[in-house]
Amino acid sequence: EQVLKKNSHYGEALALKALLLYNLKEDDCEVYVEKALAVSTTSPVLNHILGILKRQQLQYREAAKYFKAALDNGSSNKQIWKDLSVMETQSRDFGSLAHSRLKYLDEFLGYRANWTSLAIAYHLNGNLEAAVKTLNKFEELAEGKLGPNEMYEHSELLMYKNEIISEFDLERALNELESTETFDKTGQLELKAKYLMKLGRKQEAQRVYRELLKRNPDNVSYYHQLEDALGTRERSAKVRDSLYSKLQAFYPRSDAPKFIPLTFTTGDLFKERVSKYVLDQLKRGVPATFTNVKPLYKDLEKAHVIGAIVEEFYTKSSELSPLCWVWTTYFLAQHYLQLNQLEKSLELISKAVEHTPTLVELYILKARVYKHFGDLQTAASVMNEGRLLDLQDRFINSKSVKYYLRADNIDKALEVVSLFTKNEKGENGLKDLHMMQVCWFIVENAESYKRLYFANLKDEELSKKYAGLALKRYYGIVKIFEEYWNDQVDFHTFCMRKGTARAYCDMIRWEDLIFQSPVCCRAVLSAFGLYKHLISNSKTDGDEDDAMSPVRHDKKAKKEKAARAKALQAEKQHLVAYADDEDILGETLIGGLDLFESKFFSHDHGDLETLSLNEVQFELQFAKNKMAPVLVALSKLVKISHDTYPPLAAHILQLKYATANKDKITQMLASKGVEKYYTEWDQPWALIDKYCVRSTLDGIKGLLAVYDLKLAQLDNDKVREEILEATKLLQPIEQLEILKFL
Amino acid sequence: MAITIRKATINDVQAMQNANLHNLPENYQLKYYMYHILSWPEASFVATTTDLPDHVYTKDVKGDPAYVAAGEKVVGYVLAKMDDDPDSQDKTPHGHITSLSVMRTYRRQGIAEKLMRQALFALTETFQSEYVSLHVRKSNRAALHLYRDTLQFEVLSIEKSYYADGEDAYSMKKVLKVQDLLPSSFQKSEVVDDLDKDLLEGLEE
Repeated sequence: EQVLKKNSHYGEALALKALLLYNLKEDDCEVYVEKALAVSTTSPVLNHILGILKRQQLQYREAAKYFKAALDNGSSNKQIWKDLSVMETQSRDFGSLAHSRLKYLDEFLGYRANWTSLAIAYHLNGNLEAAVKTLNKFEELAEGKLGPNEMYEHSELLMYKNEIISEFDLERALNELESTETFDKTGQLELKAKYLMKLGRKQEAQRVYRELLKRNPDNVSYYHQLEDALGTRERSAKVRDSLYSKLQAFYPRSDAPKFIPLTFTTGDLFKERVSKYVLDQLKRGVPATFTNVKPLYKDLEKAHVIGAIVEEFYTKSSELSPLCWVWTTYFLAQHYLQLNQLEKSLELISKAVEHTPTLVELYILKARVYKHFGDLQTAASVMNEGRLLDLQDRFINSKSVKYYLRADNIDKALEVVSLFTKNEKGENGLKDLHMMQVCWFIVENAESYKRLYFANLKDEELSKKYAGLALKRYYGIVKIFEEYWNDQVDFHTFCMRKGTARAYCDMIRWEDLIFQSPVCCRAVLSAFGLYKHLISNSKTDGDEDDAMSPVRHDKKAKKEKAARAKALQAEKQHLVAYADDEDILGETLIGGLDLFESKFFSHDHGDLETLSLNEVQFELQFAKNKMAPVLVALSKLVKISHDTYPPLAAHILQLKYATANKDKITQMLASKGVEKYYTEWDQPWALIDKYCVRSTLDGIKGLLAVYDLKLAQLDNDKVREEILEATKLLQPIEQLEILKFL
Repeated sequence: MAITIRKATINDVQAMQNANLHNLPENYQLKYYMYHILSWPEASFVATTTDLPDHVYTKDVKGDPAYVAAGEKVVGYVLAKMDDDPDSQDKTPHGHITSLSVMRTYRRQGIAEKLMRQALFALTETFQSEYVSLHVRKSNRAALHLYRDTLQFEVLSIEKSYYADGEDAYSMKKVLKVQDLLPSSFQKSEVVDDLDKDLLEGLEE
């Protein structure tokens, strides 16, 4: 301040003031950035300070730009090369990164971390041989000079180097691997087996997989890989079964060699094997027995064999022990639930609960059966009964919370979840849930608000409140993923010192796709659906508003409105999600597709590799009349789903027929674009039948998407009838999910 | 599908955090899981279920944070580290179990024990850990049984009000010797794979 008083055109001081204001959370920060830049754009100190500011503001590309400018303008502070490297990594500018890492290494040759940094930069930029040379160079310099504390780092980097070599010279990698002294013996064996397989040396590879099984006889993939090496996958079931008998004898306490034969045996052999597998577990009282065999139910014949075995055992299970009888009943209840015989399932599980009312697992299943009946309220209260049996157990607490959310009883859900959160005095756990990144809760919470929005469309204020809250929670998920993205920054330096280069490179690739994580996709897709409805609703809303307005002047209505506003204010205190929450009800998130895009869909996703994000992209770009990205999204949906994704029927029809309100060129592009996928326009039903398998919920949802288009070229009554017909075969809960749209 | 026990990677950290939040009162932000994986990449393990491939059509990974791949769900984990506290009294390399948990519906299958055996082996072989320590809630009888009776940890002391809710903890320790820790040696099998005999010998079509 004093410097500025003397000379208000002192650029460095202005920049420093901007930085201070930012840290004091004052508003004028950007003003001073501009003032500073007006004085000078070439001062190295000024640029360095602005780089630091931008880094704090998480604007990594901008920060890199200023750090770079500081160095280009002659800064003598060599540490900036390191800061610049971190920012370049964070903005994935690997080409520049290698240069910066090299510059920094030139200044400080004596630290291994700097050599590691440069090698990783070369590797990330695809320059494999330079990466290997850099690692070798340091090894030569350090030969014989490493202390015991440096040996783990050394071992990791040798393994890292070997993996890079394998990317361009497999034989050399294998030869060098044999003589590599590493602490990660398991990793070394895994690499060796992988290389041998790639080189076709299967006989040697099978031996290595057997060594690996000794280290970890519970890793299913080792068994599969051992079979690949032995070439038994194409042999008869009998041969494979005998192989697994041998492996079972080596590893009698491992599940994999017992289970895997159930996947390929059939007939009497299957019956014998599965009988032993299931009954052993039931006798031991393993709660997950059914879950363990459930994947086999994709083959209905196997499902019936298993059912018959357990039914037979059931008649004598009570002789063994009462507990054995209970677990068998529990198994059968799951069996019939899986086969969609809900009545029978409920009868069994109710009997089990009556018999042993102290087993939490039974309540979990009973609640699930009620859920499948579509009775979400009863489901939630049964789950809560289970919770009351063991208040110390967070698992049943979480289940109970989830069921309350499914039943849209948000208050109760918050009350119960808060039993395990860190709550500030008198408050619920909502803030802690956001701080601790409890995605499962936040996304379920969002979805319950979204359902409440749809259930209250007639009440404008109420539905708006729920829409805002739903978007607030969805955006809460996106913010958590932004934290996950920012979390990597420290590791760009940390891992160089540790030498954990392999794990670090995995992390870089993992972060690249972080916004395509399943729960993030779910939030984005679901939020998009809500935006679409809000937009179409606000279009039709206008007229109703006028019709309603005279009522509003009514005294009673006015009073009601005031009371509501007061209640909302009180409620707000219980809905605070962050320490400095300025938009508790999510009101600023309600808006059009532009707002959706800037809040939910503006991250650097890279190529979209999930169905849900391509679905969003398709519709978003369609709304914006941008056919090129629409067609890219369409082709991605085809590719990812192997051309089986049910909504493709609707999408193809939409591009062909639902473009009437678009300009001529767009229409032509859209129509031409789909010809790659379909040409028999006189037979639209063949297209629909291809994608919309009537026996699955997703298939019927695909039909629903077609129906929603209300195309003149289709008999929509017929579509509706088809939906109703197919829906009859679904479970009640699934029926509800479809019928609410008809 | 059979439960797999395998090394935890960075791809698993969201699902590990999810399992922790479902099961335990002590929780951490994601960065703390990242810190474990990126500091001691070989030390932590997960238990996952895997489904058989679905032939109807390929879906996204289920939008449930427990899933790490289509049909692959994390149902248990052990998060392990080496002591890296510069103020630590004891400078001998030693490990620490930060957190262990198995989903309630997957218990009684020995998953926790198997996860621990992998972690103990890795801490010793890869990180030269000479012993490993951990804390367990005084009221957690199942965990105490696992550590004391099955895995043969010794109780060092009781730490008063160790947990945020005021509960006491047992502080436990186990001395590690790599030659005693090979996981398959706890299988109690009568035959051992000598690695040389042809596995396909005598198998008939």
